[in-house]
Amino acid sequence: MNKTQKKIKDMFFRFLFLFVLIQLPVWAFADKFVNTQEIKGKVVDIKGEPLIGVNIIEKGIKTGTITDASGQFTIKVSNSRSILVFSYVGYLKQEIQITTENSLKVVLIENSSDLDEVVVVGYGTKRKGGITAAVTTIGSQDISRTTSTTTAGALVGKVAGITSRQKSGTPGSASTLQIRNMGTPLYVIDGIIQNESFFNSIDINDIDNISVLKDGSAAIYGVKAANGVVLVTTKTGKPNQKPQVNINAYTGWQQWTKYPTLLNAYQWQYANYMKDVNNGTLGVTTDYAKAELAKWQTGLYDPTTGQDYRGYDWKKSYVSDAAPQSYLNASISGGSDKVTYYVSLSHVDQDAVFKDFNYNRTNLQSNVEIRPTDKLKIGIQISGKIDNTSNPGLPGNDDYTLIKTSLFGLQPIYRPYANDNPLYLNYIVASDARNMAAFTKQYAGTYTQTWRTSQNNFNLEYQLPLKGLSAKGTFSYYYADNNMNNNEKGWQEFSYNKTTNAYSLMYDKQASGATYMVRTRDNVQNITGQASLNYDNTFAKDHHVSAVAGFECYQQQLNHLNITQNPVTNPFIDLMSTDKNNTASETSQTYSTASFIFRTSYDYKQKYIIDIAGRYDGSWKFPAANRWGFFPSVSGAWRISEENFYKNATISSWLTNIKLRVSYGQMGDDNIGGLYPDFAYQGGYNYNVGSSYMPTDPTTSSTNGTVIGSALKAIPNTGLTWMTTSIMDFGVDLGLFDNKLTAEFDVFKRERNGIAAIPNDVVFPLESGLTALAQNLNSDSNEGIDGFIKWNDKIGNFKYFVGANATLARQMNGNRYGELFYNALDKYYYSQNNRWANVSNGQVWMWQTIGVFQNQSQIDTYPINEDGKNNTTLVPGDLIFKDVNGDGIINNSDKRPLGYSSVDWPWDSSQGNKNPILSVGFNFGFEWKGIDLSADFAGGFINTFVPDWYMKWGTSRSVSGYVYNSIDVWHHQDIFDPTSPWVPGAFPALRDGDPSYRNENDFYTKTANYLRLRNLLIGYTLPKTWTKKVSIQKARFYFQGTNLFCWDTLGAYGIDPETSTVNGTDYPQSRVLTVGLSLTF
Amino acid sequence: MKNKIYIILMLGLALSSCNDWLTQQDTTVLSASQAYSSASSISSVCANLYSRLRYEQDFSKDGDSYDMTSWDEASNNSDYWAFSNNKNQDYRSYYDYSLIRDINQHIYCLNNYVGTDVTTVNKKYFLAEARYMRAYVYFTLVTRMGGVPIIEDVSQYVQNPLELAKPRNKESEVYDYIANELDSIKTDLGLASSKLTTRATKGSALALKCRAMLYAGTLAYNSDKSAAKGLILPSGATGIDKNKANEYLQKCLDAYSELQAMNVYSLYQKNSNLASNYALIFQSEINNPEIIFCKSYDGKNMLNAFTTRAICRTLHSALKTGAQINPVLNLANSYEVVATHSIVPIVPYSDVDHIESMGTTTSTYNYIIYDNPIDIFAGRDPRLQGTIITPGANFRGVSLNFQAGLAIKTTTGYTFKTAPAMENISDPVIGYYNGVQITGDEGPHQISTYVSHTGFLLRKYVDTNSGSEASGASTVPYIVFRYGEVLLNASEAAFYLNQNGVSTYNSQSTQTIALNCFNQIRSRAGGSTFNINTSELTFERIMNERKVELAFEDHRYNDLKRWRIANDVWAYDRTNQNAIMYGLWPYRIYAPGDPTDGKWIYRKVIIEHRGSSSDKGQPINFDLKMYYATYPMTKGNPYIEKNPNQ
Repeated sequence: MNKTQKKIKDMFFRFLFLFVLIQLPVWAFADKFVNTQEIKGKVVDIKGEPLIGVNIIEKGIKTGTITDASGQFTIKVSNSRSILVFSYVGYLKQEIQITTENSLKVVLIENSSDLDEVVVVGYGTKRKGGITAAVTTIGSQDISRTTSTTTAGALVGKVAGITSRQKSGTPGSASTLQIRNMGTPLYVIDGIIQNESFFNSIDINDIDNISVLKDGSAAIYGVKAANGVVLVTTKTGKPNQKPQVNINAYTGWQQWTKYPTLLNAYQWQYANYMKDVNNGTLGVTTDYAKAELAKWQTGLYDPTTGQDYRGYDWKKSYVSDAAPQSYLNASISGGSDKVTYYVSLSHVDQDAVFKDFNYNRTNLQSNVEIRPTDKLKIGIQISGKIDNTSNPGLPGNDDYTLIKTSLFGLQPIYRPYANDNPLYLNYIVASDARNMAAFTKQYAGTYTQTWRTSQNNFNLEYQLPLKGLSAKGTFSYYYADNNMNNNEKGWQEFSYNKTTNAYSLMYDKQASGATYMVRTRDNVQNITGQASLNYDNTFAKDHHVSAVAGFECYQQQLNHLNITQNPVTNPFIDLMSTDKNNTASETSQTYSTASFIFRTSYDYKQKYIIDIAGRYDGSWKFPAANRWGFFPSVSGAWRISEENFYKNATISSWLTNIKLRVSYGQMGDDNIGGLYPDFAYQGGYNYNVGSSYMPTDPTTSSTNGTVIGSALKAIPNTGLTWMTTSIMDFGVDLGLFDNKLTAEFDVFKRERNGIAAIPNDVVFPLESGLTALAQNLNSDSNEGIDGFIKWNDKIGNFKYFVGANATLARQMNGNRYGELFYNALDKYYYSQNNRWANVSNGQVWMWQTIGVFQNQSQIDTYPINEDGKNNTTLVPGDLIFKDVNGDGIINNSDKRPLGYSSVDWPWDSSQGNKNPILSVGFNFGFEWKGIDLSADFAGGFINTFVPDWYMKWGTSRSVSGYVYNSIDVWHHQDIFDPTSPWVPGAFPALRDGDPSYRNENDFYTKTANYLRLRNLLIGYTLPKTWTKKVSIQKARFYFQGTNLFCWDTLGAYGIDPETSTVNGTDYPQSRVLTVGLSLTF
Repeated sequence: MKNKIYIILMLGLALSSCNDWLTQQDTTVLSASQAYSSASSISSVCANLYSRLRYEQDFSKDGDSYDMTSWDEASNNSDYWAFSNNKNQDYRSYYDYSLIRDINQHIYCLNNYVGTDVTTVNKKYFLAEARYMRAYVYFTLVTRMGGVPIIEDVSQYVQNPLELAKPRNKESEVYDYIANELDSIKTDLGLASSKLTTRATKGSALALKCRAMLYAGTLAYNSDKSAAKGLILPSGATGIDKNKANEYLQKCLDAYSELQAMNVYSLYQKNSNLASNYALIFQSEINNPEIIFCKSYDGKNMLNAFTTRAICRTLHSALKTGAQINPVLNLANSYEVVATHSIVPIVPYSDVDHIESMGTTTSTYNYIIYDNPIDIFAGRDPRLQGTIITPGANFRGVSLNFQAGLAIKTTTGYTFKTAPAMENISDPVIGYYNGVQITGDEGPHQISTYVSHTGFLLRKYVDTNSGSEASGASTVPYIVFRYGEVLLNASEAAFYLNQNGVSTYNSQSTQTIALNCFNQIRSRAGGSTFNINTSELTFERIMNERKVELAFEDHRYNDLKRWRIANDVWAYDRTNQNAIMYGLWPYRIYAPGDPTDGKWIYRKVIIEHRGSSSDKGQPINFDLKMYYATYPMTKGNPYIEKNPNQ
């Protein structure tokens, strides 16, 4: 520990020293600069409306100012021949030579072209027009259009190249975001690498823009950038801007989008009796069952006899239809000519639909930039947050699991309280400890988890005397601290005995030793240091050269401590103390990487552009000999529309801009996976593996004690090294009709080589106790197309936009080392080599359903043996499967791949890629006389949902059940009379065992396609003339709705199409309705 | 120019520190010299190795103890999907050579890395202990797989793995190896503390040798049985020659005599109630002279969930636990009648025996009527009540209410009424019949889980301390070797020697040794009247004694195998009364006004939980293939021979 700390300190000082060293000689020459003349003026648009926040700089000199709320500005210039440059997002840049007059009136003209837009790319920024890479940028206005509490949720459907799936809607959980279905991308926040959860918990309103690097341009980020990069830039203040205060608040209500309808008590009894009769296992007489069923139907309740057939609607009682969510954000930004600042504080609070489940988060963002001299820039960015989760301390690791499964697992015939007396929780033995009435903080105790994090970035940038050369240094320190306190209290469940009028204690959680008090403390410390020299200059007017050379180092330290008391000795004191029931565990890890980076680019008149970059990366994961890898990338672009021949052609009158791009980049990935665990290159003994209860010195004592084991580690693997990823991308950027219509299309392919695998031709005898070690053997690829098209225009006061984007990306296995098969059929089933991922031998192999047996004689005469037992187990309503190979029997050989990526099993969400293969988004909006409306549609196509368990089987006596497959089924006319005729239904007849219709088939398995109105925003901005009177620049009321409707192909199942579990008992996404207000002072 | 120099300077400085920066330490790892620096650190390595020794019914591993429900001792209703079907040749296939390699590496390190703080005595003991563990692993291997390659070196990761391939040793060679190893380490193991039971001792080495030699001896002794004939590989990898029998059997007696001469171990006889005394053997290793070697638990860090799984429903700690080991009538039938020494089945009918289905609702059979449920077991070997909780028994001072249902007396016989499910038993409407509770808290019940479905529960190993039923909280040890087994082993070995014409061992009559050892167990179990005479000592008697004395101690399966009769006893046949499992269900008679009202009858029911929904109550199946488990065949070792019938 001390050694690492010392190392960090050492590194930091070395780094600082280096930085000072390169600055020293140039500080000596730092010239003094004095402003001489003051110019005032006003900037307006063509209608004479003042423009607020227009950037004004003196050409050749970096200092500038910004217009205030009435469009006025004041700037000091160096001499009377100075040129002022006026720039404003969405307007054409204007240069004006100052005159002797001290007052200027400037009219800016709107520009629908975004080619001058500044885009954040690897280690710097570029103008959109000069970009060679596949980069999509999204601005704050588009990002903030969401009620999502996570950044990932805010991006869904808005960016070409991004695919996503929101598997769970529990508060605080995020969509799984991927770039081109390549896997979890790298997140870089204000230049610093961060993890996905940090990215998701940034306050959305603090984000200025997000750039998504989709191709080889991500290579400049090297290690871990193999799945693309998401770059987030937070907001900053502008120079010479008066303080601007923004307040934004909303409050709203959430409810589940979809959940399959559950059976009521009568339906449940009806379906189960029907199933018992079908099975021939009705345990009671038919008359008895009929009488019972009749009572359930009428809901008979007689307190005098204790007869109670009312049943209970658990979902209605324990799942809220209007769980609150609220948000408040206040920010202030502004600046002088020396200092700019942006400070923001926000709080979001979200309840789950379950009682006592809450998530809330407070964010602070403070971005300050100081320019002590014209040459030196010092930036300080502080981002802090407190992330709170609080809920009842239910058994199990994830407290949502039990409550989700209980909702489905509780039979509707039981009631929450014994004798309906709210003092006594009812003992519902058949359903485990699943009485949802106990799932409150009062009974089950409290779980709280608080993550406190702070990210601190310090940047220095210095203009060196050589024109265009500057030195940059960044030091970043991130600290996160987790406090998890869990107190799983004991509760008691009772049964009421009518005859004795007594409540007998049936279950006591404390007495059964199932109470837990847990404390988890984590702390995480990340250190990032970057030092670079940057060069940017234009020669002979047209030759633009830029270059970056730098060094970067990163270290992460993770410490974890857990203390568990089980069972709890004193349930009344919620504090840990010395106790015989305590167990403790601690882990500590340090990871580090270091890289040398260079990038150089050249463009001629922004017509021909070439960009070459490379990294030399080292990672802690590998032994010294295999540690370093070099990964280059190259890209180029040609703007045809800048050529004279093109400009003279008629096509240029409407096709304003064409740029062709091509890129190829390589990067190393040290994330090799389970075959190469941490420190696999070292030998030794793992401590704390297996233990025995025995004496430590058997020659002197026979008294037993716990002896913690030490296990010999596996044979060290020193042969593995970097997995190499390369991305190839061809793209075209188009601008039509004066860039009112813009579009970009890309074709891409990513290849990964050197995926770790165990060579199957190196076979050790089992008796050696050895197995072959993993090597860099396999490959895979990911290919597809993405693009967007967007129309921006204005008709009078009516400003509108319409856009669409789509991403089609699919993973393919590459070479699989040493596949061997007994025969061609085996190979067809099991080969992975050069095949689409998740297709071979997966759940997506199934029988094709070609009909339904209508009656018994059809079954009796059916020539194909469907169940392997000459159709003796079949009944009318069972499915008819296609005998693909025509051998007269339906077996595994008749299964064919009829699906795509398939669902996640809850326990293997890591396997393969389960996001939809095709993701689309549609966005449109308009502004008109203070009214604004925008809508975002997001859709996922080409995916497969494979239901299992009760989604196939229908109800059973041990759980509740769904209406769709328990009621609307094939059944006997008189369900109690197995000789009465069959009546058709939508699903096969309910029965036990494993009838063949439940085997994988395309009757149950459905293609999951959906398109949802992810976001609808309607706002009204009060006229300025009203708000000015109370010193408010802008006041806007808005309504926002999330997931207002969804079209999908899952039909009767009634589950959210993004859900991941196979039995449908997930926490689906929420429909959220909010009303809000934003004010600008 | 200046800048270039600075750049070079900067890169140079950065590079020099990079390799330091990138080298991290694994905080969970010890080096070999750290791991072998002291007795306690070496014990840490041993703790890992001990935890990996394979015990089929290990209490700490969830699910392992359910193996007890696989054969003819008990049945399982709560995880029956895992235990309802018969086993195949893969059952007990075991090939843990990575454990062998780790033990070999341990021996290598003990010879090369031991720190100076470790005493010579300790070092000697640790080396002997390591070899004991290795011998135990080879014993586990040979009983399941037959002969296996004996590897004593640490295999190194080589370019050409084929050079590490070795053929199977003969089955007899493995037994010889085990005996020789144990002989050469027993002195050093004697350095251990005398009351030690949880690590290798001279006693455990002798007990292992005694058992191994009996196994080897019986394999040779039975090698001419018809079942054994197809089990011999010409290479000797399986099968032991008949003429080696006496040598092995004598070695078994050697181990027994040496163990006896140690004067450390004796039978547990501390409680005057014979049933309770027997049950107490299996409660604690503290001051228990019978236990030679066991795996111990503290219920805190070393969890023992067996009691949680097996405890009666009335005392269960959490929902969905308890009552998961349900002894069967087949076992209960094996407990002799003390007075007559006769092995007679329990029959609840006054005329002929019947087999009933669990779900039957009416009957006209002639049932014997008992005043109390426990009366049906009267006069039987006390070990019945010491091993099994029967209807009418108490546990932890709580009287347990076994009542499958009511037998409502009709003119012709009885109508049976049972609660639809266990959760309804106290329901005022469904659970009662005219004010009388229908089904008792302990069942038995046909459909509900976590309740007995045979009418019996297990007493052996179930912790009598209250609170020990909480998840994993039991401290009952898992006994690997106890003196009682050694006596039975010796008795059996002496019996065979006598049969083979070897009339004396160490100038004592082998017949006397056999009878003497046998009667020590008998008199402890049922008092001196339970002793047998020479004419009563038959192979059938030995079989039955081992069945009841060692019930649930993982001997039954191995015994039937080495006797080469498993395929007969467990022949898959609907007429085979040994292979079909039965339960015994108590019913309370409901006949207001009748003298039999409130009295009890029993129904003998077939255990339908074995098998599938279409093949309920299927017989146990042990076929010839299962004498030797599936031998793993890989490309890595072309010299390996398949097992017979594989």
